[in-house]
Amino acid sequence: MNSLLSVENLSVEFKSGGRTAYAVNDVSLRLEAGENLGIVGESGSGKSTLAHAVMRLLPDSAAVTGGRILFDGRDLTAMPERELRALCGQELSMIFQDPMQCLDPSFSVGSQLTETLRAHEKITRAEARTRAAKMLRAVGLEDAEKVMRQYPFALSGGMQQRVMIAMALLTGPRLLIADEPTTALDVTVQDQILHLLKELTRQTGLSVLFITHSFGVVAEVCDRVAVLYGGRVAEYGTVRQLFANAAHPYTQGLLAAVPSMESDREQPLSAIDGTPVSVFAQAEGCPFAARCPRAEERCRRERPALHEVEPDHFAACHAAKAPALAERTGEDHG
Amino acid sequence: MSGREKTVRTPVGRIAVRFFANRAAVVCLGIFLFILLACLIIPLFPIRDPEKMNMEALLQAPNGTYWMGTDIYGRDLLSRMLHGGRLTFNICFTAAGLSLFGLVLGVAAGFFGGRIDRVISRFNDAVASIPIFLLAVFIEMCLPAGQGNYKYAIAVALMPPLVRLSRNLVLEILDCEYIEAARALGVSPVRIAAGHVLRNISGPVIVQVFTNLSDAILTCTIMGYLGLGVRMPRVEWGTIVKEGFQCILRAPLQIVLPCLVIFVCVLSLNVVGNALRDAVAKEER
Amino acid sequence: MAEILRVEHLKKNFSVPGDRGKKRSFSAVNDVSFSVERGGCFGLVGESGSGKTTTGRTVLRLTEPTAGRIFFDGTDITDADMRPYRRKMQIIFQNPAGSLDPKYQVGDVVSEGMRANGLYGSRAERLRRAADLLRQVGLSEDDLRRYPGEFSGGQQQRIGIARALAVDPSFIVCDEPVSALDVSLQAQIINLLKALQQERGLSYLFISHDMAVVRHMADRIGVLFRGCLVECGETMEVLSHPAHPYTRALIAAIPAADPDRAAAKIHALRPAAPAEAGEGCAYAARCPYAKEVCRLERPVEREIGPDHSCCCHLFS
Repeated sequence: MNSLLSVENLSVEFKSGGRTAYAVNDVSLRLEAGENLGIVGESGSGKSTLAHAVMRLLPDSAAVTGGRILFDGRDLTAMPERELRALCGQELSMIFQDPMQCLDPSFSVGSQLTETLRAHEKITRAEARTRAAKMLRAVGLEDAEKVMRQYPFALSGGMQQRVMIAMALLTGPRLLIADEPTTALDVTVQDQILHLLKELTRQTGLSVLFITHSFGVVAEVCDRVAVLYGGRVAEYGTVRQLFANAAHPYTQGLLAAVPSMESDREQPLSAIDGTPVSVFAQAEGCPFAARCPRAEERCRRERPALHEVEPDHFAACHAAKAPALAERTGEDHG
Repeated sequence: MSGREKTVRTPVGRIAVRFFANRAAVVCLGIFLFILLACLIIPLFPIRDPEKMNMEALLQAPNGTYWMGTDIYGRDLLSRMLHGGRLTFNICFTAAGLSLFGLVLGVAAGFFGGRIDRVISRFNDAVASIPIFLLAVFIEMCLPAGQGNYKYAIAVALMPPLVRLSRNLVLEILDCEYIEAARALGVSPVRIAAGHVLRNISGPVIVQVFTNLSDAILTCTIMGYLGLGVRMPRVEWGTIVKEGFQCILRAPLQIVLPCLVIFVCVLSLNVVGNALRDAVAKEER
Repeated sequence: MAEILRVEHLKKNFSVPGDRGKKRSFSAVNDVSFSVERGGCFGLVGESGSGKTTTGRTVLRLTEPTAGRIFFDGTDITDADMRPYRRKMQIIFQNPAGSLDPKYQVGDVVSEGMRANGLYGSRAERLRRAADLLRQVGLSEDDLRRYPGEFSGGQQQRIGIARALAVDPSFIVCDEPVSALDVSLQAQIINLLKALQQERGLSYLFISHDMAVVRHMADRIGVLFRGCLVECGETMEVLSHPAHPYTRALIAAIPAADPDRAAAKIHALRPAAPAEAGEGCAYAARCPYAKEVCRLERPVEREIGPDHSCCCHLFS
């Protein structure tokens, strides 16, 4: 059985002014049907590049230099452009941080939705309108008829985001790629959109690849998380495993650095020192070594491979122990 | 950013590095400077008199004695181009220089806003709608004619875009948070204007000045061609083109060569201006 | 006197283009009163368009208030000449790159305020002082001659902090100082701001949309909704016993950062109703508990506990 999406050893490079930016390096990920996968990282971690590579929306200055992206067993990187565009409209879609990036300001919401549908299916305009209205209701826009007559700029940010989600889901895709869809929204609106996405995945069996910088957002909607640092996967596992038992010092640092509603206000936050690694540098060792509190000589010399630390939970860190070893030390302490 | 660019610290230095990395722009800058310096320096030496007619050698093709040939009166075209260039550049640089007054108006309008802005902007709209050739005729009537006084008309024509550009730039910069930071620190308005605003609009304004200069050369030659230009014994490029037109069939090179020089001049100025704009824009980002 | 800043009935209207070219008045801040304790931190929370940034700018008189009074250190500064107060009241901005002039060297950025206020005799002395400040905020003396564009976002924010500290202020408005930064850098800046507060006895007006960040920084908070201060009081009191329906909704909406609690969360699925300019409570259109009186009459501020007040008809 094929995974719905499987990224195998993907590398993406950008060329800019004679320098090379190593945006994504040797990244492998799997997304099973019906699952939601979160990709967490800071700016420059390569998370957005990864999403754009899947949709083949990379700018001309970027190139996939290695690896494959398999969607249900079909290689997206080798597929002819036409076939890919058909697939992208039908089975794969994407939503962005800024809805106005994909909504045309000069057409009403209704005509954009119906045109999208009619581009992929041979149906009448009336049929398309009915289905569009149904989809708008499904994303929580009760007054669908009114929304369809309106133009995108007349809608609030949250409503625009809902319209974009409706447009992405119209053709009944199996995979939705969401690139920071709630970052520009207010907390209360973000909460509604996250809940909506969760409901939709539960009801329709849709899978979501969720790109974000926030662990809080991941906890709300995702089953699995991959933490990206310097264009590499630092840690990969289920949401529960990562929150309860983070193995990579970067993940641990990130989780501790965010103030929560429970944290101790008297204590300083445990910040990660230094600044994020430059995309232009290709370190010999672990990309996190320079900021890592537990870095040793070996970390600077040798790049750690992603290895299993417990069943279904992987980390790329020399200090993260293998399951057998972890159990033994556990016994020692017990 | 290239490696070399990284080692340069100052913004001006980085702009220079980027500009000189653009080979076409450097070549164009060289060509323009060559023409400019030739016109400014060579006529200071005793070269052939541009007004001396040689009836033995009318309408000659370029040869060893007359490098660019001779015109309908047997005058040396090269000498006329050099002397004419001197006056043309004189007119154009004066006009472009005078148009910098627009910078003062634009900055004042943007910085003070309110009524001052409205008055300057309306005044600028009015100036922009003056037909420049009529104005040139008017000036030639009022001031001593035939001495290149139409440069004032060119200056007036170059001013409005500069006013608009500098006003918009100032408004854009006043919106930046670092201006608010300076105000919060109690920095005086004069210092904000001189320190922050002028420094940050300088790049695009310099580019606009280059564009103005090439516009001035074109307008100046068109005016000369239309007969608004200078009178004998003065000579300028537009007049040369006009005279070349009289013998276009018998000696086409007499009009082609001057036009080519003007074309190369304007083109290279534009290329330099564009390269400068690109180099500056990258710094603004 | 315990208060360093007191704001009474602050109002700020902007004129915005309305129908058929006419100007329309838009109320960004509407009758806001609060005070900041000396050495304390007052957090102002609100979503976009709540008027929190305008409040911060108006307090410093970077924009002039439409009505209301501002007291600094017991003096009414609403109509005063601000020059003597500039060095006592400073501001840190949200966008670190935009708040630094790209054409200024870091040394000049930091020492600009010293020169404007006639502090320290010579340029050399000011630069020496700037170097001290850079070290205090975690940068080095070598950075004096570099340009803001050469730094990362977190470092740029440190430069902005050094610039504010350069005139030795006693009160700083922090306008979303960490929301433009990466997660791993936010904690660095928060810790720095807290450490500086303790070392120098600074007072902050801390503006943010992030409840958890405000909770960590502020000892008292105010919740803004469309220009109105709907709830105000001691931080833990307000957060553990939120009274106003909007405050409750805000707290409930914070992502749980815990998969188990996220699963158990209750959500409001319905999108927010559009803004309605009415006579009554600004929140009435979105409020699940709205009564007839909420749409007709503006609620007034009431004490509902020790150092805890709320602006809602439910508590009248």
